[in-house]
Amino acid sequence: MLWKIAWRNVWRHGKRTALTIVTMTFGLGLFIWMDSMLKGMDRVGLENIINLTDSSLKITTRQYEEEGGYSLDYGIDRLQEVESALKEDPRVLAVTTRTRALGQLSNGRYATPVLITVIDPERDRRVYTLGEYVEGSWFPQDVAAPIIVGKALATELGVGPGDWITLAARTRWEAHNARDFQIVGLLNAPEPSLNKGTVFIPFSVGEDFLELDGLRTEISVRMEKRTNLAWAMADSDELAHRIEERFPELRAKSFGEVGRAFLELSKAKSKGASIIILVVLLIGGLGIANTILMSVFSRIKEIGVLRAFGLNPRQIRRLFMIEGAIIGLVGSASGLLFGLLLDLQLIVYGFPLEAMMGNIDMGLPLSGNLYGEWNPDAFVVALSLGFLLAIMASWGPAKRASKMEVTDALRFV
Amino acid sequence: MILQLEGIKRYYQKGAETIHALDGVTLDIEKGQFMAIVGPSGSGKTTLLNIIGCLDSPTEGTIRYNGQVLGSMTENERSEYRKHHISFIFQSYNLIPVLTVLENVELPLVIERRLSRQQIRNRALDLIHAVGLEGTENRYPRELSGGQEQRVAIARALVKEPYIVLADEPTANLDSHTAEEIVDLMARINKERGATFIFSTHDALVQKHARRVVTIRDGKIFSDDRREGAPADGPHNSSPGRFAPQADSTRGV
Repeated sequence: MLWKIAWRNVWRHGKRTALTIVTMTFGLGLFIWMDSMLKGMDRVGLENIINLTDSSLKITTRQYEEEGGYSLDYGIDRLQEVESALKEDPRVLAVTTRTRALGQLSNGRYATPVLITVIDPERDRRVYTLGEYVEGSWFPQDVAAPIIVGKALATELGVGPGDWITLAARTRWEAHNARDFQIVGLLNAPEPSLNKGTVFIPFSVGEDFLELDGLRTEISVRMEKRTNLAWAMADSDELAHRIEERFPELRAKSFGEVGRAFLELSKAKSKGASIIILVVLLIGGLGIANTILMSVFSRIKEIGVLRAFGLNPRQIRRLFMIEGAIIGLVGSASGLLFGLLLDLQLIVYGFPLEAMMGNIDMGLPLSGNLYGEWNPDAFVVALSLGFLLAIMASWGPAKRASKMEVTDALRFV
Repeated sequence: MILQLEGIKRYYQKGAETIHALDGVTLDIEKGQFMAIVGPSGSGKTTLLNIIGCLDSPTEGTIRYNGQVLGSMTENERSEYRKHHISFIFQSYNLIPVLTVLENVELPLVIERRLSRQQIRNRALDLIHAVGLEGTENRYPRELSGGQEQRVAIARALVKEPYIVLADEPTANLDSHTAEEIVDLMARINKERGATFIFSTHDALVQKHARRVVTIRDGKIFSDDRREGAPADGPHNSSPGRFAPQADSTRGV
């Protein structure tokens, strides 16, 4: 009977209840939507790590990793042996080598520091997906000194495909060298650091330009895709561990290691969003508390009657808590549904983040639309959060109702 | 004797002033009585009903119910006492607006949790029939007239077969014709079922039907008239019937 009374009372003041439910729906829907967007950003970020910057597993020498600065002093010695070891693992799909160095790119008037990445165009394409983001060509055979330049960098220097540009760097043997390269493509990847400060040249030119003599500073590995992020991270961790065991002079940085650091950073970034959501939920909570309090005030005499017929204070409290719980459940369910619809839109059609943000650098991987990510955890959190919020918000008014003197309640007009 | 009140006092503090709502009331009430408590406004009628109904506690004095002293009970014990032994009829009916007639009548039994669902339903329908409201079971209070609402309130008060029914000005909001019907109904139920009825009232009609009229003034009993010509009280001297009180371990107190 308490449930019946509570249920009917919830809908007795339909507008008041509806307003509270709408607030909750909006708050929780927004929570799910924002979570989906943040998860989408995380996914893009992790995909970028694998596809654009670090691959599934990146191997360097320990000194190279510890010293930083892309020194050409620390090449990988047992290159063939390491590659063979990697290829023994059935989860390894492709392996490539890279050499990186610092340099300066000049259009004749201005020069800007860049990170030179020397690659094997064919093998690199099997590990990274940079080729998909190149406007122009991916190292055509008929160009003697091809270079691919980050699009933002090219814009800064006022150059484009077909233009000649000068790249200067110190060689492996510390000699200064400069050479003209012809821009064959502009890299417009969803990773701002690549677009802003990186150039790519093939080993066919780089060997000579940097006097590499076969020096390779990095090995990049692509591993098979797993449906679960945690499994993928575990795979790369495990392979990294095995490589380091077998080649103690090497540092194998797994995608799991890089990914976890990225996710930690992303979690910190999402705190701002959480504050917005908390404020919205707080408004929802106040709405529920207000609705229940209004309900208590409009039913003081009814409380007196129920007490007169033998309901004890605890049961009166329960009655109003049930009302809060009903509002909480309906509000949460409705918020969940609304969130699912928003989520569906975000997953299928995406959010035009790049179009909306333009050139503002938010440190986010921007390229076209940002797509959301299904996150069942967020649905569970939204449901429980809404319900708990309702219970907490109802507690005060319900306690107030239960503390009322029966005679005062019956006298109330 | 179902109730014995000895030297009941109830004082309230209103600022610096002490209000003597009841000032030493001593009263014996027999089983099955149909009794009116009369007096001017503020004389202490409602306070007396509240104390008998355990809605309020006396400042001083002793109440015995079926010979047992109702001492300083906790809030939950008072709820239990009301749940099993007492029913109320209010001046403004106080039906639960979100419940139908049938659900309102069933409410005290649902709260009491003594009977099965089917027994509750049967008893509620029986009472609705007894107060002449058959056909209105599924209506809500807002769809009823004042007289009908008070009939529902009477059915609700009687459905759990209470030992005592306390009615605070039950006819005050009714026109004279309806008031007469309601008083007749309560008198009939008192006679047939033996529940003890105690009214606080200004209504001459109620007083006319009462077997005993206690007048209160300034918190004290001014007069206590037992009326020979009035309709007879319920079967308080017969063997315990459906409504007659007896020691009942399942009902507490």
